[in-house]
Parts: sequence; C-alpha cells; structure tokens
Amino acid sequence: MADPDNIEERLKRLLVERLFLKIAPAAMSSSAPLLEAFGLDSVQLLEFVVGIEDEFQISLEGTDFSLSSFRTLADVAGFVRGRLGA
Amino acid sequence: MVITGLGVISPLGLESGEFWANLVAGRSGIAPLESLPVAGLRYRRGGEVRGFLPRREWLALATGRCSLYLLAAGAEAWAGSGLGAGGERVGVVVASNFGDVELVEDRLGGRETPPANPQPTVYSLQPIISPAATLAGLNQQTLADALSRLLGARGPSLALSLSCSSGGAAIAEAFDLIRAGRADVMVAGGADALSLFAWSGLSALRAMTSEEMRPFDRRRSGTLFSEGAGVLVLEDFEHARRRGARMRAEMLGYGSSNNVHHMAAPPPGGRGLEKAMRAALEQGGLAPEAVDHINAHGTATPGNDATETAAIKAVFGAHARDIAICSIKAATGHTMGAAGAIEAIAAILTLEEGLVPPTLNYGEPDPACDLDYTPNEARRRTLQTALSNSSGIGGNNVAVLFRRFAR
Amino acid sequence: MNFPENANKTACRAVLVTGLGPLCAAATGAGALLAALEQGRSGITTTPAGRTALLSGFSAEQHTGSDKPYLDRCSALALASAKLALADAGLAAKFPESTRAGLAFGSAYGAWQTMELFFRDVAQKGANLARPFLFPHAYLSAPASLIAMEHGLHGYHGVPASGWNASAHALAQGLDQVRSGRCELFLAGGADAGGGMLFEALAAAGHFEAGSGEKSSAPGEGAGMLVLEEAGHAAQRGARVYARLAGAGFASGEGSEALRRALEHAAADAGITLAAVDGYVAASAGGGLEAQENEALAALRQDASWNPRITRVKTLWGETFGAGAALAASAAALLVSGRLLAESVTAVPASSSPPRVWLVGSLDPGGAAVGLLFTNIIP
Repeated sequence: MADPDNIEERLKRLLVERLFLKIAPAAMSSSAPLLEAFGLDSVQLLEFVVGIEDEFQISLEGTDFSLSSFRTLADVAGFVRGRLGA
Repeated sequence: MVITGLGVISPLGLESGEFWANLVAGRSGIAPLESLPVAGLRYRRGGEVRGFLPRREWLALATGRCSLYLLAAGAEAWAGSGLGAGGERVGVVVASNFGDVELVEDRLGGRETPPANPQPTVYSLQPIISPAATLAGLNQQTLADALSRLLGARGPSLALSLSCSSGGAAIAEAFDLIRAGRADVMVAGGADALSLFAWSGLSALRAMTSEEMRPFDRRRSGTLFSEGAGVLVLEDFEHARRRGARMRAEMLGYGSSNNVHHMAAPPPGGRGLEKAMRAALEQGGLAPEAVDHINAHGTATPGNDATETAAIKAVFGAHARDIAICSIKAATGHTMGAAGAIEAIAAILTLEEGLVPPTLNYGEPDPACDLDYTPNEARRRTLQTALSNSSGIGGNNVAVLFRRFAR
Repeated sequence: MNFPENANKTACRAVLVTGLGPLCAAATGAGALLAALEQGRSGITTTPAGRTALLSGFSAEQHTGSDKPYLDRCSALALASAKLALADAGLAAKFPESTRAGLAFGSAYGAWQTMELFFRDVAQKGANLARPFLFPHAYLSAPASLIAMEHGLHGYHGVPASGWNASAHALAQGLDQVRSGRCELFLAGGADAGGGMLFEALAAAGHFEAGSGEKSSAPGEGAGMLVLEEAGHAAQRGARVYARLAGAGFASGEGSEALRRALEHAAADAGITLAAVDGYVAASAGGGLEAQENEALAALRQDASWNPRITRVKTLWGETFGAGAALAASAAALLVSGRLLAESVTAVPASSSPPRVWLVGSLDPGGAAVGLLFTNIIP
C-alpha cells in the first residue's frame, strides 16, 4: 500500500495540523520520544489517535494504543503499517 | 437561607418523588440509547428521560429539550414551594453545559429527523433551522428567560455555564443573590440534554465506559452520560417563616474554586475540590467533624474518584471514614450540567429521610478509594449536615452545604 | 454627599477598580480607550456586508505572549484582555495559590467558533472521528478555565452565560465576592467573538439592520476584563484607583420596566438615590433596545427626577454582547476617575466636578437588565 516514508510524513503532517503545533513537519524527528519531544498530554495523544483513524481509515480501540506502540513516530508508523497490512 | 421547593426530571423518574423512590430502591436509569443515532457511536448506553409528555405551556416557552427539562423540574419545585405568584422579589438562575445545543446542530447539519419512537419522548421535536433558533441554541440566557416567564419571576434572571459543576454553581449564585438582598426567593436549576454534540465530544475524550459505571470501585473504567434537570427554590428564612412555608433544608454555604491545572484532567490530590469544600465549611461556620454525609461527584472515571477521595481525606482527616458518602451517578448517569442540582436535591432528601442512597455496582475496594461509599444498598443514618460536590471540565469545582431543617 | 452603609446584608468592604483591559474595535488597553473616548474615534467599519466592529488585526500570540497551540477566538480575546487588565493594575501575571483571588468571566455566545469547527467534523465524518482536543475548548466556560490557569486564579470561579448581560453579572459577582470578604482580588468581565454564523443569525433575526445609518447599532466583538480589589488590599500595595464599584441591581421582565428597576436597585445597593447619579453609560446604540432604554430613562426622568448626562459608548465599538457591559464599565471607570477630560462626540461632559457618580446600564434582548454603579467617592 503506502510506502514507509510516506506514512511517517503523513503522521507528521497530521500531528502538526491537528494539534496546531508550531513546528515544520519536516523538522520532526521520527525517533524522538513522542510525548516528550512534542509536549503531548493525554488529550493530545487521543487527538493524534483520531487523526490516525481518520487519515488511514482504521479504528483503534483502547487496547491498541498502548504507549509502547506510541513511543516514537517510527513506532506509530510501524503500527499503522501493520494495521494496513502493508 | 432555606430550601422550600425541589424538582427533578431524570432517567430515574419524571418528578422528585419517583426519582427518590427509584434511587433508594437501587434502580438504575442506564440503558441502551434510543434518541441518538447509536449505530455510529463508540458508546451506546446512557441515561435518557423517557415517557416525558411536556405540558403545552412548557412547549410554548421552551426552545429545545434542555429548556423543557428545566421547565418541568422548575414547575415541580415551584408548585412544591407553595409560592403561587412570582413578582419582583423572585429571581431565576439556571446553569447548563450546552443548553439547547441541538438547535446549533440543526444549523450545522448534524441532526436528522428522528425516527418515529414507540415510546414518546421529547426527541420527537423536529429539527429547526431559523436565525432565532440558532441564537437560542448558542445563548443559554434563553433557558433563564423561559423559566422566569413560566413563573412570572421578575427579579434577577441569569444563566451560568460551568461545565459539569453548573448545577452546584446555580445554587451558589442563588445563595449569594439572596444574601446580598437582591431577591427574597431564587429558583436555581441545572439542566442538560443528551445531544450528538455532547455525546461525540465526551466519547472522543474517552471518559466513558463500555461496561457498567462503578463509582469508587477498583474496576471503574469511566462514566456514562445522561440528561435531566434539577431545580431548587431557595428562600430567605424570614420570608419563608412569615408565609409558613415547608422548609426542606437549610443552606449553610458553598465553596467555588478552579484547579488551575488542565483543561480536561483532574489534578492529582484534588486540591481544587479540597478548596471548594473548605470554603463551604468556612462560610457555613461548620467544623469538618460536623459533616455527616457527602453526595460525591463520583463519576466512576479512574481519575475523578481517586482525586475526590484524596480531597475528602485532606479536608476531613480521620473523620472522613465516618462520613456516609455516596455517588448516585451509577443510578442517574452523569447528567452533566444538571448533576450538581440533582445531587444537591438528593442530599436534601437524604437529610430529610435519614436514608443514604446507594452507590451502585460496587464490588471491589480500591486502595485509592478507601472510604464508606454506601455500597449497593440504601442505608439508614441519622444525619444533620450534607455536602454535595461537583467538578467539571476546565477545572471548576463547587461544593454546597446543607443542614437538616430542625422543625 | 456621603454613601451610608447600604442595606446589603453581607459585610461591606469597598470594592475598587484598579485595572482595565479593554479590547474592542476602537481601542486596545486603557490608554487607547481613554483616547478613543476623548476623540470620539469609532472602530466601526462599513463593508458591503454592513457595518461591523471586528478586531481585524488581532492575534492571540501578540497579546497573550503564550505558546498555547490552540485558542478559540473568544478565549484569545479573553486571555488578552485579562493580561492587559492585570498589567494595567500593576499586578503580577501569576498569583500564588494562597492569594484570595477570584474570577468571573461572562460570555453570551462563548467559544462558538470552536463549537462550529468541532461539530462540522462530527456532521461530516461521524461521531467517532470527533476531535477530543477541540472539545474542551468549545465549552462556554473554556475562556474562564484558560484565564484561571494562565494567572493562577484558584478561588471563586464564576461563568455567567447570561447573554448580553454576561459581563454585567460577572462584575456583580466580583462585587459580592470582594464586598463579603471572600476574595481580596478579583478579575471580572467578559468577551465575545464576532463574525460568521453568529452575525448571520443576529442579522437575520433582526438584531441589526443591514446598511443602516451611523447612529444605528453594529455587531462587534471584544473583551473587557477589570481588576476589582478590596480597598485595604489596594491601599497596601499603593494601587492606582480608577473608581469604586459601589452597587449592582438586577431585574427582568418585559420592555423597559426591567431596566428601570435594575437602575434603581443599583443606586439603592450603593445606598443612594438616582438623583445623586450624574451620568449614565447607555446599554444600547440604536435598534429596538435603544427605544426600550429611552423609555426607561424617560420614566425615571418623570418619576425619580433623574436627568443624567448620557453617553452611548457603543457608537464607538458596536454591540459586543457578553463583553458589552464590561467595556461600558471600563468607560464609566475612566469617567469617574477624572481622567477623561476632553469633550467627546459621545456627549461625555468636559469635566464634571467631583463627586462623580455614573451608572452603567445593561440590557439583554430577552428582557433581563442589570445596573452597575461607579463612583469616585471612596470611604
């Protein structure tokens, strides 16, 4: 389906757009710890989850978004890739 | 300051007597939703007002479901007070999270004409798109105006909106206005109706549960939202005494605070709610040891119940374990802006009857919630004083303090 | 003339206005408001769509200096105004938890733009794709929560949603909280954001006549937060004092009669009669509300021999709804302070000699009314 880089780019863009972050998507690190690097709280993390559901047309339930799949953007991309069966 | 009238409409009953009977019998109003388009919703159970047939004069004044609930509860409270005529010394203060927000939904294209409902509810009201309707949906003063007109009240008339502490805030405002001599009688109420707007937002925050609501239980996993209204008639004591009114309880004071923490998360330790309870005791001139009962906010979210317990322990110390606490939300659902008013009414009925309503669905103690929550069955207690707590999104807290009226 | 202890049942402390944070189409900040009033400089602009009083160049970052990722426009106006008011009062931006500081923020329509943004998504994509981050910002109480968090206001927290009287009720809450000794410092006022769906509905409902003359009312937006302070607290820190908020009155009903009673109650709450009131800051500027207000004033002229000087400040910045009474109160505070010296097109007197007592009227189309009394007489 989508190529790996593209998923990460889409994740970065949706994170910036949905959370109104004042940072360029290109400047975001895929390997930085997500919560700390972008100062996300629990509500913002939920917003990111809804953004992923909307962008990739998948549904994430409580058990899906364990913190381990959301440690870095690369982790999230891997998780999404798995769900898309790419 | 005394309470001389009470009115409730809720999933537990369409007036206060039915509400109380169901509450102490341990019944719950939580059920699969019928009024919202449930197919697309993550959470599909909640509390709905059912079988409500509004009177013609309410329909003439109301702009939506929330205002109909308010008028229904207001009419009951007013009738019970025996006041008869309104006038210049009678005021109205109402509070709601969202008011008649379905009118805004109609403007924005969200509400479809509901399907024919076998059990008539007010949801059969059709979508309305008009400028006046949109403004009524956005402006909650519409609620206060409607109740003022229904009762012929020509004193202060105002709406407040303090998220889920709204109902408590309306009672607090009524208390202040009478104390300041701005009215002899204030009709104070909280009201909210389920709407797609509220339900989708509250679902998105994932504060709701797919299981049962279990306040203060270790297994608690979230709240379930609901709807209704609670209205109280507050009256200057001398005014009530002169006319020989039935005095339901005395209001001693209230406390109000903000957590100064986060838009959606409760602060660890419950400092904000602690401040509100302390301020209520200070205004009421009551020592912490004199409090017998707390009708808790108790939403059954993991955060709230632990935080509220910590706040109660901070205020009451060792005495916290002697207080008969309950959360009625597993029975009523979380009625949002009505909760503070409905729960204050429950607290007053608890004092009158000497019967503490149960916290339903309680089974497993939580080390972080280690007080007496009156699990599962109503309990007889001799009670003199009661606090009712409310907290809301954005960090608002209100605690209202009542004393049993000594006849 | 003296102000006797009033009939208020609560312990009575003097409540002073020590900071103003006006934000409207005509002015940003107390100094600019003073200049706008002196010069009669209007912020109302005429476009093909009609006359409006919007803050065209307003940006939240510029005023709040904060890095909040998202702010509803109403919240942004409220935060900016709160910051202006505290700075004007010479107060710290953040209060310690121990301070007995309260907040009352009023709004008629609240964060309706976020409500719209949030709900359009729900309508189009379905409830399960609703945005959790936006939802808390859509509450009418969101601006108040944000102000409390920004400035450390832990105490009394009031959020009137009483339509066009919202900030009048907020100021009255502040009056009662400080008067009774519960708070020593209080931030009170309101905000409303304009444009879009709201202005369309207001115009279509007949609140504003499109393309009408200069004397008619125009929909606007703005915020007005005021710092109220207990007299002893203000004296201790050597605060500059604009005015004393000495009374509030409420009433509701049909037509002009509610406003008449509200003004009488406000004077009585301050322990004086209307005859002792020099001036009146009008609630209306054109339209049906002006007719109602004029009727009330005519009745008071006849029955109470009250013949005040009248200024219609809303001809300068339009109808700002939940912010309206607070902006009018800011003008009243400047008037009684004696700082407003020049003749202005709003019929403000050159220099009425002290003592000065001004009433502010507030009127909601639904029929409720509020009066607020300001004076330079400080006991």
